[in-house]
Amino acid sequence: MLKKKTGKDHLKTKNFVFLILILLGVCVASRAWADVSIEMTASKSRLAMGDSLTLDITISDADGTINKPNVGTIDGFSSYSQGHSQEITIMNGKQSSRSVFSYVLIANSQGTKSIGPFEIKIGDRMYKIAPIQVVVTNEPANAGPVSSRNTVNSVTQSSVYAPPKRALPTNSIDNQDIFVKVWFDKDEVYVNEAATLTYTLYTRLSATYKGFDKEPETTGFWIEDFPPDKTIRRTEQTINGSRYVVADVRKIAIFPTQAGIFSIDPGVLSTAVELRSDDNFDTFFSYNIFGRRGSNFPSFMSQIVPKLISADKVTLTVKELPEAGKPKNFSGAVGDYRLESFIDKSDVEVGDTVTYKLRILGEGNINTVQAPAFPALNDFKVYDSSTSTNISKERLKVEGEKIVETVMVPKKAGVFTIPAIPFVYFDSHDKTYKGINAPPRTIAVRPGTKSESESFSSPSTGIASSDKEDVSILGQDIRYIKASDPGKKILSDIARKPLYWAFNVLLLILCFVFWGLAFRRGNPEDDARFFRSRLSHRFARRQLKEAAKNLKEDKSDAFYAEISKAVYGYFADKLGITTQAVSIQIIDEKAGDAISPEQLNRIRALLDKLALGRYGQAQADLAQMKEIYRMADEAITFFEKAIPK
Amino acid sequence: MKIIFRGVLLALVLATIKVSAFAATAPEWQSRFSEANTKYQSGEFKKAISLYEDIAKTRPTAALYYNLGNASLKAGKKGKALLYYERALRATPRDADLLWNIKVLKDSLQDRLEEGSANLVVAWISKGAHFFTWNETATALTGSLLILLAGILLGFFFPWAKGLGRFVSVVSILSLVAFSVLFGFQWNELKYPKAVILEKEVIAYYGPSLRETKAFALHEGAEAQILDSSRDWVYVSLTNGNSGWISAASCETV
Repeated sequence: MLKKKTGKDHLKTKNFVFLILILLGVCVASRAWADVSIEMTASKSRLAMGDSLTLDITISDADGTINKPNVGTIDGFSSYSQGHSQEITIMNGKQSSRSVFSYVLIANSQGTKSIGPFEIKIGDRMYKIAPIQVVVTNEPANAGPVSSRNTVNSVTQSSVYAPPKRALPTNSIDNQDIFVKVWFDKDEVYVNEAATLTYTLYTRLSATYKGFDKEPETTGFWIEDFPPDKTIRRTEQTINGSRYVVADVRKIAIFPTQAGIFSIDPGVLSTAVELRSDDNFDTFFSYNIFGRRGSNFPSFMSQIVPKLISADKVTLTVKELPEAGKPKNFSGAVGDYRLESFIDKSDVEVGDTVTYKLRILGEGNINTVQAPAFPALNDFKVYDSSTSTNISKERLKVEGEKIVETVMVPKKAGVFTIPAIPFVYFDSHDKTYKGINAPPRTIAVRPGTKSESESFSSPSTGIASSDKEDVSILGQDIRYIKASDPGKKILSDIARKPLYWAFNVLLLILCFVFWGLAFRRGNPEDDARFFRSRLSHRFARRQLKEAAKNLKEDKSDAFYAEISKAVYGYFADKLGITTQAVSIQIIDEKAGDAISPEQLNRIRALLDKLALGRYGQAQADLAQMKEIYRMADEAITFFEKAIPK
Repeated sequence: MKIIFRGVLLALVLATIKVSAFAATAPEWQSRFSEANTKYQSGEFKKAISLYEDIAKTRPTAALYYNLGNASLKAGKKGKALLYYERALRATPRDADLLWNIKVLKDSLQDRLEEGSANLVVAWISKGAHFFTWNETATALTGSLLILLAGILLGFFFPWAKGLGRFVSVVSILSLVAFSVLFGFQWNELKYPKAVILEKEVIAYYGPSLRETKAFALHEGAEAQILDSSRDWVYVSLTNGNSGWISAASCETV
């Protein structure tokens, strides 16, 4: 505190002297404080691509409103406005003012660049600011601190008063001013053994840790973050003659889940750095390093600059757990554990509930520890267990407890013991597997008043059904020998005997014979009629063809004979009657509604003509014969359509 | 009439003689069977085995083979035990004790030779085929034929029972088809009989000679189908599709 005060006082004195000087300057100039001084400063004259510099335009003792300088885009840089600060001091009735416009420029192309000229309007006058030259190199961010400073006083009009050169704060934040070291507490760990990753921030500047801009890449690991208030510890160290404030800003416990060599990207830290006059080193570290921003006294030069800090990748070797001596029931727990067991009641009645608690506690990744299985108890009904986990990271170690609660209901009276429950873990300190046991617990079960005997004797409830359980197989063995021999001989295969086949073939033949006979015997008359009806059309067509041949040869007798045979035969076959019985009445009767009266008339006309031709000895008229042939053909066609097979 | 009476009398006398002869031999093997059982009970499995094997020479029964299997298993001969069980299975394929013991024995074997086909239909047929003995299937086949004939004759001689006859015929044809499928399946299985490995470990070769390339190793109790044989060698096929030649002495056919 004492130091802090001294620093403040010191600065105040300095500021005061500075103000006096300005005032003196103002007094010397006959033209009061209306004289404006404009200064443009760049924090670096030489910088690498991608680096940033801070550009300040300082206007002192301006008369009237100061408009924002017209900076626009600057060739070769991306520019961001950092804000505008203004200070007005009244001393001995005289007023002095100072206005600073700040810009951050990030170089994005190589070469000698000129920043400016810019114009600024103060009051109703335009002032021009002369450009300044900056060299942008291709080198990576240089290691040494950039001390070069380029202050250009620009006076564009003769009336403007130019104050003497003086020291102004440089805004460069160098990698040696503030950096982070990321380190593991051990280089080699076993799978599931904790390794602590620590981020240590070294700074020569007044800086505030603002968290992570990019989180570390920790896929494949189980991560436990330690609480920040436990980790941040401030010490001071001197490295290469420079005094640094050193703080562990973050600690993470990492549990690897598989073996291998892992390279972890530690991410990017975000800080805010407060820049002040660098000619007074004490002011940097005498106060306000972490936690507080800004200062509570009027400052000309204080400026908060964000700074991202990245660190090199860190490597961690993860070893597989040793196979030698690995117990069978090892389930992957690594660390240092103890096992406890409790029961809430040791003297119960049948049907009461008892809660058995198994507590695993110790150091290690307790979240992933697999609790040992609860033993099978035949005399209890065991319900599914519930698990709860508590983790503490207060001592910068991941430790805690896992509690498995199992609810049991005794089924019968007696004294029962819940056997010791074994648990195996790999002790990461001793590098050995260790087996521990939860002590056995004894429960005395009294025959209950509300036992099953009650439910059976109670007349109103009848026989209560019980919960069914699988009959558990206790062991597997062959069944006992047969005491008696029923005499099932191993017979020779009958299917290999020819007699068997002969008998079967005989049966098959008999089946076919009788089936065939039965089919043949069906109903011969019906069958014949069926065949006649089916074949009638074919016969008739054949006879019509014959008739057509006779017609060509002009044999009228043969023609009439064939065509009569065709027509009468067709109708007889179709209707299942004799040829002599065919008459128009029968056709009408048998065909019924299947043919129209008009069709019936045509059949009648055909039959009449045929009768004439055969018996009337009609003249062998070719035209008439053709007509009869056509009519016969037509009648057979439409009758076949009307009465199908 | 007199002749018929005499014939019946003769038949009766013959039957009595036969029954008495059977009755006379029965206690003989039965006492030996009981003796073997007692030996088994007292843990003298090797003595029990030799007694059972002695009876098996003249009177091989399913119960005998079952007990032989048990005794062999207790004496530590898994291969022999499975062989005897398989023999017993041919007469009593539905014996629950036998099936259980085979399952227990197969669970304890070294080689993983899973049975069961990917084809559901084949799996069903196989299940059915293993439910009946071959003789049962053959008898059922003949029985189906007889019923079919009866159905046809019913329709032939009694026209009024035509419908019933047709129904009986259809049912018997269906059963005929079903049993024919099972019969065919069993026939195929018997055509390539099963063999059980009796030695602790047997190497199968790609040919019937020790000079051939080694194919795979089988262990005691493994079952394989014999596809071919050549002098002292048998060509076996496993359920997983592998096949190779093993020495005939190392296995025994069921």
